[in-house]
Amino acid sequence: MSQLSVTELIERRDQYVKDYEHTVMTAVKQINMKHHAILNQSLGIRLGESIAKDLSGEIVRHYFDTSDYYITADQMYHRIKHFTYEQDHDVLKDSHVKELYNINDSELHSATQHELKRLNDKSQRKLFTQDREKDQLDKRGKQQYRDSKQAAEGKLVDELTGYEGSHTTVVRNGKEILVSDLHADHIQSREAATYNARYLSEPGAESMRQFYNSSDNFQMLHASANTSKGDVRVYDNRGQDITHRATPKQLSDAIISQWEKETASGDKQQTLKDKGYLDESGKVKDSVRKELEHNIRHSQNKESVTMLKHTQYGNVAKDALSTTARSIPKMLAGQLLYYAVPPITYEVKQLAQKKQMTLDRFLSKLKAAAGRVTAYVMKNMRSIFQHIRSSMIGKFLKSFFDILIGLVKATVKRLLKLVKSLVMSLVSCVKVLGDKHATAAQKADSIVKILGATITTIVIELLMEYAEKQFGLPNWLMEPLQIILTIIAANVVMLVLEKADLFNVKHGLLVANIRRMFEEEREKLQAATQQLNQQFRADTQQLLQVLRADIDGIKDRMNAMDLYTEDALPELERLNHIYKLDIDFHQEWRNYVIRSV
Amino acid sequence: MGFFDKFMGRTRNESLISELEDLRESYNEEVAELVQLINRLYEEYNLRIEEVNDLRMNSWQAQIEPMQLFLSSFGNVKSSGEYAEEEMKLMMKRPKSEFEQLDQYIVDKDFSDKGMFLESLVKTPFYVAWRNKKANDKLELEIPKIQLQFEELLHRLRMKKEVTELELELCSLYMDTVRFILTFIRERIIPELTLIIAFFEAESLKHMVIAGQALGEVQYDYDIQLLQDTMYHKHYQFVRNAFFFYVISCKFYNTPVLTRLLEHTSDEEDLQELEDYQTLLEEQSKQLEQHMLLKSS
Repeated sequence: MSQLSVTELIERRDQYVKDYEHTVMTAVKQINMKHHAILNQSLGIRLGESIAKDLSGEIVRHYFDTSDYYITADQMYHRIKHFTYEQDHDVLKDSHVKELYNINDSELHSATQHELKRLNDKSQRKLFTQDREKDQLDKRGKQQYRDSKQAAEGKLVDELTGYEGSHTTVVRNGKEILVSDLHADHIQSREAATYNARYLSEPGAESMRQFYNSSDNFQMLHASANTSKGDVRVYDNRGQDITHRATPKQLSDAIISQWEKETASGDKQQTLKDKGYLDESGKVKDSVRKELEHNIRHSQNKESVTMLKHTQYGNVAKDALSTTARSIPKMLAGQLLYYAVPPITYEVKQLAQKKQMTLDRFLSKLKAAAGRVTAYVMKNMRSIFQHIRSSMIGKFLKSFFDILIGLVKATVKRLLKLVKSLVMSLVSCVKVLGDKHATAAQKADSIVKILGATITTIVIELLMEYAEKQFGLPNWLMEPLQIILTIIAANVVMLVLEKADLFNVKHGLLVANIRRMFEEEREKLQAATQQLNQQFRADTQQLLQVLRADIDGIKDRMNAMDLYTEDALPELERLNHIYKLDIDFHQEWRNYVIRSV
Repeated sequence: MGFFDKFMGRTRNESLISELEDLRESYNEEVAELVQLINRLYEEYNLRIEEVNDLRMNSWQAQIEPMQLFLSSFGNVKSSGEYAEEEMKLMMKRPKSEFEQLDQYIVDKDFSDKGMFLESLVKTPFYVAWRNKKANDKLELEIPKIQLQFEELLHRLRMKKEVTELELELCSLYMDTVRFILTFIRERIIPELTLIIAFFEAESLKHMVIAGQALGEVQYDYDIQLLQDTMYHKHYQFVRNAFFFYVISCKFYNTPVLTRLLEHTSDEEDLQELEDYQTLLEEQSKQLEQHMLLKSS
């Protein structure tokens, strides 16, 4: 006979309810927390970290000229640090934005850039080798220009100052001729004119000569200004003649310094002041400066367009190919570094951790490690060749455009830089489209990101050029500034695009994650409650069995009892306990038998 | 639906809403099934309770009153008390609020039929499409949460079912015991009562005759304890047994034993324990949330 009562069953019931509630509540809380976590983790793209990583990679690339490796320093670091054979995080697959950084090399530190510049400088030939007096183009061009100006405006006007020209009568060869004090001046001087003989053949050069003597390269200047302008050149800080690469500002500065230079007699100064070139203090007027620069820019643009029309693109391509070929060793080295160094580092780490290393064991383990590394590299051979191929395309396009950009001037130069950025980013886009492992939404997303980054880089480039012009910052300062701004802007744009998630790529992933988590947790909860139920049923069945047995025993004994000789109280006490009747039988009896006297 | 609908996100909205409606349907079915099951169990329980209540009600006439009369001759019988009914279970109603909430939610989030042309003119179609996309995204991410609510509901219902099944068994057990006691009294005790009264009357008469008292009204006021340990001990024993059966049957009569047992959810202690546990859970979850904030920052 046990001491069991119905209370134990009730308590088991209550425990069950408590446990069940607790299980369900915990699961619900858990699911909500995970839901919350999944939603929030995706927004926490650590802007600071990503900027820092890109910055470190770009610094190395710029200052150590590692563009040709087509691997960045931070990519290498990350891979070496986190490499295992199972978790082989291949960052090259998602490197679209990084590729965009690699559109422009450092002007100051890139070997390729130096090489191209050197080649450009070396190939410059003088455009006009004939004496000026004998040059028919020169005479005819000037006359035509003067006539057209006269015809258009009825008189000759100084194009820089706006002052009207004056005539003096002069006798020449017995005849009286009116001579104007305004000269038709070559905006870009004839003497300084050069062309790149590597990419422009003789017919092309002839077209250039014609350009130099066309109205696009003439301006009406006062005789004094023209004479003192002379054959002005621009030199770099090493003393080299860079007139053929000079910007409109550089050229106009050189011309202006000629005008402002004081002569012994001071006559020139006076004349220029009288004719509106200089102000009272002997400085060139702003309006004149502006007009001069404008004309130079115009001339340079037209020159560039003419040059592009006659450029021998075959030669350009050949040169671009040879720079590409020269950088293949570096590309290959980059790939091998990327694929071989991380596993090697990993293996070395593993070996170093092993205890009790004897020489024999070390050598045998080394052989096995070498085998694994080789197998790993071989496994990725296909990727390696794909990377090299795409790097080669990138390098070719980069060099091709860089050569052309070196040839042109002014606004055309800027436009070509833009075209270069767009073309190279288009190539990236085409690569994305060809990716077999991406969904349409992912491709669209990548392309939008590439274009977003491209536009950002272009905008920064333009801003930098403007800043350079406005504030005259030196090149060594502009470069790091541009790197930093480009990286920050590109990362911010990426972040915004990620958040915008125009093609629901991120959202799709989120939904999939959440649904998966939900299913997992729900199954867990199901299993848990199932178990609770089973346990509950088992326990209660057992308790009920015991209780029933007890009660059956009570019944049996009572049925067998002789009420005249046996005491039924123990059995009734049992029932009292079982059903928690709270009867105090003894007290009841006492109250019963007390007789009031 | 044409391109405009797709661009505006109406197509997607329609499919999401339809998904929600399907979910509602399937949960509705499951919930209805469970509620029906539980109510069937309740009905069975109530049938048994009715039986027990009938037994108990009738016990007054069949068992308690005769015993009370008998026992009053030998001692201070206290009152049997008022009859107290064992409570029946109320039928469970189908939980409506969750479904109504979901219906309202669906109405709010469904914009697949809303006119958007005018709005697009004012705010540009791009803005409207953008806003709709965000709304659809939010909706899609909410769906598992809604599912969770209903899963919770289902779980609670399943738990209720398990508990009700146990209570049904306990009800049977209780009914069985009550029936046994009452039957026992009716068959083993009640028949003996007149014999014993007759015996005591005879004894009384005997004594009165011996004492030479006048045979008038026979007093039935016997002190039962005097019979203890005498040759008439067996009568003492019987009356004592009968008394105890009286007490217990009164208890079954005036107390809704089962209802009271089942209502014992927790003592004060248990309640406090539950509350402490709840606070502990909340503390833990707050700490976890803070921890996660730290991690993600």
